[in-house]
Amino acid sequence: MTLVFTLCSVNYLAQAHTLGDSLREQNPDFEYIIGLVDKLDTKDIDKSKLPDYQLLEVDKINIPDFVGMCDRYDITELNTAVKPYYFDYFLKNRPDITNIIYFDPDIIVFDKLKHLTKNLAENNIVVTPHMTTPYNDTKWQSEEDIINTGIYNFGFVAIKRSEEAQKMVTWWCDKLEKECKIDLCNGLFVDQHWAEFFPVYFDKVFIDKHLGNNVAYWNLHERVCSFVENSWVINGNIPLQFFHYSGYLIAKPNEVSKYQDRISFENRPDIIPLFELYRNQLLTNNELYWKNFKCDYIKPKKVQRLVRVRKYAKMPLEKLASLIEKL
Amino acid sequence: MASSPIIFTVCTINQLANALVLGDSVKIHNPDFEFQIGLVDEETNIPNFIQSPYPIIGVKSLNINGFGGMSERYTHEEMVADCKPFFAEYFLKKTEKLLFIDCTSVIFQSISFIDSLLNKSNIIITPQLLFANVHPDEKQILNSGIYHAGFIGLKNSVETTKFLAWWGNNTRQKGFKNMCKGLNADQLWLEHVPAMFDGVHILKESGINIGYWNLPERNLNQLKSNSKLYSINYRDRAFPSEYTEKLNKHSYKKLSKITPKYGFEDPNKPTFGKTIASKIRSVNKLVDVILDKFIS
Repeated sequence: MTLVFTLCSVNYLAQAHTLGDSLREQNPDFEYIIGLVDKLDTKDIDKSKLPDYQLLEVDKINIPDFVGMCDRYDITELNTAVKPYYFDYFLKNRPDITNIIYFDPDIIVFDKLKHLTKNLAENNIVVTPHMTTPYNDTKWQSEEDIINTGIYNFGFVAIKRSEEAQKMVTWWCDKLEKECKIDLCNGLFVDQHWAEFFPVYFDKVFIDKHLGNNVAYWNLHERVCSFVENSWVINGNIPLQFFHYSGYLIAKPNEVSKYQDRISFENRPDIIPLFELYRNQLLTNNELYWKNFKCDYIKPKKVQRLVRVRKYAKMPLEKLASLIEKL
Repeated sequence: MASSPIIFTVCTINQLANALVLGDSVKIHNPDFEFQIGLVDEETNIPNFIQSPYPIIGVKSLNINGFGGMSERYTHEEMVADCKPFFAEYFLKKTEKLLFIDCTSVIFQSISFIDSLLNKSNIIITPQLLFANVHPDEKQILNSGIYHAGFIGLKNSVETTKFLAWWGNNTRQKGFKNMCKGLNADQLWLEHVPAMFDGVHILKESGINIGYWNLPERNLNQLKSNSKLYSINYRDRAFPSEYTEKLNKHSYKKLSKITPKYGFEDPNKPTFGKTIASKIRSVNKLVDVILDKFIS
């Protein structure tokens, strides 16, 4: 049995709903669970709008130091930090499940994932790189931006139940308990950058370069999309597996993604229908309703008080330090 | 084309003694490999008291496109690292199989297995760490690079040519050391290699390229007793006495005082004053801790 899960807060339920619908259509034999980094009963929710999929709230999966993590992390960090804990929960509580696949909620699956299940049968872990050929330009994001945040995009990762995968999940949980930060100068970028270690630390980690996987702004420079005989294909003949609408906002329908300036709808008319399709499905799945709910785990921004007192208290030592520095 | 594989290193004149010690260890343990030195300086600047038994190729003979600009932008250390792809291109014209080893390395037994690994792969890269959860601060390695640029194998192939052209293009333009921006001279570019090129072998051999970064997870004595110790890289750590002795035989003390011709002195190099200053500033952080406690 294969289990697919995603992670989001209530404000992203339209996306998770859309992903679920695409899975149901293409892969009806997969079980689908929405991991909710949020609480349902604190909100006044119109139950009729809830997607018809299992919801598993994060406070139900026994994360050992969840309180500490809520305290340490901002909402982006927290949402990503719980990912390995869900894997761990499913490995331990669902012995009937062999393959576990994670997708970001802003993904649509376009095909029966036979290619992926075959690769999982032969490997322990499957990851997808952001790109498989150089950019050869000076646009944003650059090749070094990708290095800084992670070669493999963690909007997707899949594991097969195995000793090696459990080892990976345990180590990954351990790292993300305290070091799921965005702190680029110190090598940290949420859960994703840690994945750089996977092929080095663990056996049978497959770097899946199939061009139909995880198609998104970061690899559209090497992938042309077209609709041929009722299905989407990449570069003329490679079946599109899943498309990742990372950074796309319904409120800004003319922008491909808020994280880049390489790909636009003007220079890439081939992707326009893919985004129209997405926009329509999100609207059908009540995006405008869900987007306004505030996540229970958002914390107020820390305001530093007594700024002046701090400055003066530090002054003598700071003066000494700058003197010594020049020696 | 030479039938024997070439091992090469890249250095400046002040590191020439290190390169010669590496060459001596290759000669002893791998007489089947040729050893050559890429010099990021001019051959004519090598003092007369040095007679290298190994061919030395000066960087000028590579005619690197944009070399003058690199020398203006990069520190001495960056220069040595960033010229590596160009030397690799140069040596691959002479041999089918090529191995780069950092000049601060010494080999302890034959590494001919690399030769056979290259029959099946185009590029061999070496991880800094091999074991999860052993190094006390794994994020440092994420920051500087999962793969270490001090031990790289290359086979003459279309894919390798593509790789070197791409790598060189990046070290020519963006070969800075600035970890906040994802740059670490030649090294961080290697992160892309398994995803971008075919036939990449990730060398998981714990006796290869042992350095300060992986000492916490490597057991030197055990490796020695199992005859699995292949190479140690003494980069950025205090040299042990047996290594210093070998260096001194190649006039290390005199050579190490020679300022490299290309690039400039790293302005951010840690000095005694800077180290003390940063310690003082860390004491100042207590002010915030105390005040935060006081407020709450």
